[in-house]
Amino acid sequence: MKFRCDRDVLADALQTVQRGVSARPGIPALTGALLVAEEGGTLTITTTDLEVAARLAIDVHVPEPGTALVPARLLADTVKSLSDAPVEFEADATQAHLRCANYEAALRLLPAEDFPSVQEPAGTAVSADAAAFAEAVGQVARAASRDEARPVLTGVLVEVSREGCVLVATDSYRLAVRELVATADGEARAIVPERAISEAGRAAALGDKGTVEIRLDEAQIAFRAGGLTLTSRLIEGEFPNYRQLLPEGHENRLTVSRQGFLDAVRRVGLLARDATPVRLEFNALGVRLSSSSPELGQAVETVEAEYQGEDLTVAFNPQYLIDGLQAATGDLARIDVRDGLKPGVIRGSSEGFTYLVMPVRLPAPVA
Amino acid sequence: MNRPAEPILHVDLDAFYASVEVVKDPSLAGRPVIVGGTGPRGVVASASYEARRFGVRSAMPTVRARRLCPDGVFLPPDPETYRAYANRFREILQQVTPSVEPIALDEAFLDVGGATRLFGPPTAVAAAIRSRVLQELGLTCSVGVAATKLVAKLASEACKPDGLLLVPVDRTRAFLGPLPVRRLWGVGERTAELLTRLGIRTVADLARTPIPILERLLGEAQARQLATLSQGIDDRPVVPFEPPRSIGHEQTFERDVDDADEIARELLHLSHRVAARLRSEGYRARTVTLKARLPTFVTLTRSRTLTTPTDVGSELYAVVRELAASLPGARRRYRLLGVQAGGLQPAGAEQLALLRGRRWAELERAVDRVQRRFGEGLAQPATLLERPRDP
Repeated sequence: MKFRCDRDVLADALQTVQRGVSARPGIPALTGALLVAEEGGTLTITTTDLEVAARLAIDVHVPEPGTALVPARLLADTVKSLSDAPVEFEADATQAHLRCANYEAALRLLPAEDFPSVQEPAGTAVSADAAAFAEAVGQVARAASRDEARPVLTGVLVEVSREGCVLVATDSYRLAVRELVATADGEARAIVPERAISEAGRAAALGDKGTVEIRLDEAQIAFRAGGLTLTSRLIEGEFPNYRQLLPEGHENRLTVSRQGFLDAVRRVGLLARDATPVRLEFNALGVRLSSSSPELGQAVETVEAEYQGEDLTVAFNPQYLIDGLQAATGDLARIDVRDGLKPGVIRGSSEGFTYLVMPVRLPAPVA
Repeated sequence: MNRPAEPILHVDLDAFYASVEVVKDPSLAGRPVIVGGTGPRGVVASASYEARRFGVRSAMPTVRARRLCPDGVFLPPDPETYRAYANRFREILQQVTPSVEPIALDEAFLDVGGATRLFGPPTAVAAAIRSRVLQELGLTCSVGVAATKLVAKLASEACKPDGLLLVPVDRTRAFLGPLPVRRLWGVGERTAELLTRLGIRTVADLARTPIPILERLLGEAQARQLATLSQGIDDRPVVPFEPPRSIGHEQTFERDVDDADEIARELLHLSHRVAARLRSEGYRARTVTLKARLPTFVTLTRSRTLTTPTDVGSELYAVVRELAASLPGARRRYRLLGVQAGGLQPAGAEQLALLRGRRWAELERAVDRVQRRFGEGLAQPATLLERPRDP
């Protein structure tokens, strides 16, 4: 096997296929990147950690087709460090020779036959605008849980219907829902590991192709965007019924500059701790934020805004508010609150994104 | 900034229970409110200042209070609400300084010597506490500021209700002088009577009396103590409340238990007892430990750290059950079982969940209320109904 290509193209490709795939030092073959050079000038690079697999095809010059499994991290680091000149790669049964300008190296190969074959799902096909998909993933994925004790919540629910696609994530303290315009040839529902869909979102943001193609069946999902195909196993289990959590209508609504409020939450939140969240006092003038912790001090800030509803005090974990306000888009944020015990709802200027966040119950007698 | 000369605060809520009742029902404002046992043997627990004008005092039989103040509003105590207010009060104090020594639900000493950089001189701290307590709880309090705990407490008594009094170090003797000796710590009715026989009625009288005379009257130890106190000298530091390290319950069986259902039942019972104590003392636990003693007296322990601290019995039990399943031995037989909750943190604020459904938590809190009102064991998990009651 032999191919020649541009250093940058190869370096980027090797980096891309390694993100989203976790290092599994226990299984040697999984530390490798499978390179398949085909006649006609295509090099396909594949990595996998058995849960997620990434595959990327680039255009190269192929004098001699073939296959090689190369230690991925080492190859990527090496190619990245090469001088800006064409790279030549030539592999025999046991080692690969890498040449660039005056540099030459021989890398030991891994046994290619140990590399798992990556199957791609053939079920429901979905197509969406890449930029919109990237935005939607960015909005939703941050609400997924990091707690492995409840695997279902560590994923993002992808709900596909003929009307479009909905992405949902929750760590049980907040919930992010984003409706996405998409075309689909059927209905499907899947819980995708957060890191897989986030990686797909990143690829969609970078790719210059206008769409992301998704295919999913009972066990797997594949995202195709910008030349990268990311295949992931699905998380088994029942995702919570999020629809019944979404409140209908609203009683008390704050309409506020999204950036202004976000900045205020950040500033005031610096003095908040687990036991002392940020308190939001809503009144006709807007919202007053305050926080205090015994060992640090206290902070107060008033943000002028339009508020319709009764005077209320609700306390939140500032990080959850920050996540929601960042995820919402547009100049204005709408925040609906009910009382100190019911979820607050954050929305941006555009429809389609909803972020629920549960308050922190203050130990006070809320008299 | 240097440590101020008068760093000790004594903060005392005014007519606590009665004032809370007025916050609950503002129409009571300005009326004589008396909280206490309303039965024939009940005593007054708290009386508003309006009621005190009629001569009503704490610890007085309610029957007598009714005679003194027939138009008073007599209410039974509402401990749960008082506790909630007291916790919030404590929290406000804790936000000023960690050096808070609670004496009762409604009073505490603070050493603000280290908080002045952040909040200004002690009187400013005192004023800030008073305004926060009023704003957030709707209650007034009185604060004494002095160099020692003794004087700070006497100062807060002197400025009650709704007052703030600083006793500067160089004014201490002048402040104490005219106070009756009875007000000093360690002077009870009997001591006061003995002192009166010598014509010692005020603190100034006491301070003037030579120690040998006092010694003859009261004995050496008490004489010295009173002599020092009468000078306003009191070197007891403010001792912040230390939270317990863990809360646990264990049960030794009269005969070893080996029945799986019975073991499960005991663990459930222990889990609920531990949880009830966590709740009543205001903590949540981060670690759960199961202790099991075998008939051979070998004691096994197994622990688990939780992702979210809990004070819910069913959550403790879920972990305890898994820990029990992990104990070695096919046929399990135990002499003792224990459940311990560690890594305690103040319950304080609680992040609510969308999903987990805090239904168990709510349920168990409701059971707490039932038990407080009607007695232990009247509401419990159905599986525990078969369990013999604790002796």
